[in-house]
Amino acid sequence: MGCCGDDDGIYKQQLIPNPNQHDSSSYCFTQNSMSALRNPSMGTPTNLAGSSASSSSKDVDVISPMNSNFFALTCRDILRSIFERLPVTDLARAACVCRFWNLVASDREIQTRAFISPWKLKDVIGKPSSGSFWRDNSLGRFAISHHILRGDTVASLAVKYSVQVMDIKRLNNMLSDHGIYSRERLLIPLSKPDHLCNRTCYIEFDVYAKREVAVVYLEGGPDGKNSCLMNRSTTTKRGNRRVIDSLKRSMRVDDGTAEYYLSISNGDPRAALAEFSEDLRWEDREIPS
Amino acid sequence: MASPKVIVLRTCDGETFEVDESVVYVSETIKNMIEDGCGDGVIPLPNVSSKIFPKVIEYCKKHVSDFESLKKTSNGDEKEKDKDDDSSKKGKEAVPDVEEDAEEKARVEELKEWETTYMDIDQQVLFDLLQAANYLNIKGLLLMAAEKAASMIRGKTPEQIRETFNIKNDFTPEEYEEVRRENAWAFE
Repeated sequence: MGCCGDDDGIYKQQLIPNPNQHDSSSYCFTQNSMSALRNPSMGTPTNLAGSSASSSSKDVDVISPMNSNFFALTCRDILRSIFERLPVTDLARAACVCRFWNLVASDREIQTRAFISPWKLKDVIGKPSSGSFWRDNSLGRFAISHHILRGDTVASLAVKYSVQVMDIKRLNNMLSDHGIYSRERLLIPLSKPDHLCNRTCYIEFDVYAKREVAVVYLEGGPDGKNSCLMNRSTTTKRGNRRVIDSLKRSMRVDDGTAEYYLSISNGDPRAALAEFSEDLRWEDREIPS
Repeated sequence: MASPKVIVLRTCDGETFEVDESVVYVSETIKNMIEDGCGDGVIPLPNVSSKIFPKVIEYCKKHVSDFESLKKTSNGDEKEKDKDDDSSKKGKEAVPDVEEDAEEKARVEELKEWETTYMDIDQQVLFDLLQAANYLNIKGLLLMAAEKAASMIRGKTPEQIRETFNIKNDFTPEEYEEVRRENAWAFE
């Protein structure tokens, strides 16, 4: 065979289990066994597995008789390095080449990397119901999750995000503009990829859109949405402004006072008013000498 | 600094090669072996053939100066990367940035040209190189070769890919249908 010199036996023991080598056990082949591979009648995977060294041979076992001259293509690590450089479309096609390629191309890490790389996303969280979700990363797959505030209309959102009203309605399956009031959030289609840069997207199934969407939150993450439900009107600047204004009108005080009372009542306007009335009553008691 | 040490390596088909330690250090695998104390005798490389080894060494020689200067940069000694001539680079710390940038650009250009010539190889050599780079853990070489292989895959249909690399389609008809369905979008 002439693969390795006999006196190298000791070194060989050291080398094979070496963690640096990844799949090197699949390499213990010489030109002789390469030609055996070329011979179609040789065929069974056990021959490959049999002559490879003990450790880390699990990847070799799943290789089918590929009839390939090029051994590198049967090594998972090498294939991964190659696939990492492929865009989503080519990765999908590579997955159709043979079983082994399908295995490597369907690896979650490789798929998500190909999915997010053209848009410079930071990360993607969530698991889609089917692997085919990853195969299409066109802009239509993504959407902004907009938490609906009082005063929002489809038209105002279309202006805010520079999209068409029709596109928003289509994405959210809205028949009329008034459907907005029964919802907590709207999905906004993306007109340009800037919103994706450096963000994390979440894979969610949207009930209205009736499909899975990769969603980005421009204000925090999905948890931010939950706390919004609690303090609906005060978590955004605009909402806060409205509350302050209304307090000012009720209490007949200036900005600073209204803000103070709102802050000591944890953003609850009713509690702020109550506090203010309390204080007024206390002050009235003090006056008589 | 010690005089350049020569390391002896033996490929899987029994041929020996003598290479400078600094050159061979580009390979993480060999570097670790030397640091573990195997550097004094002959280092065996059972997964590398004598055919591909010279090609690998060619890469290492070209990038050893990069390696050295990277080490120095991290130590904060010198910023300039020296390729062939040390003496011309000495005392260059006072040179304004513009000159350094131009130099850097020229260097990058030259490296690109070298890489294009280096990677003008046939498939067999490419895959041998991939294997060797993976085993010897030479990141830069692995990336370069992977990129070349990826360029051979991009834009091709699965059938064309199989033809290019002589891969057998081992899906059963049902499996293949399912795989095609899952990846249908890529074929529109």
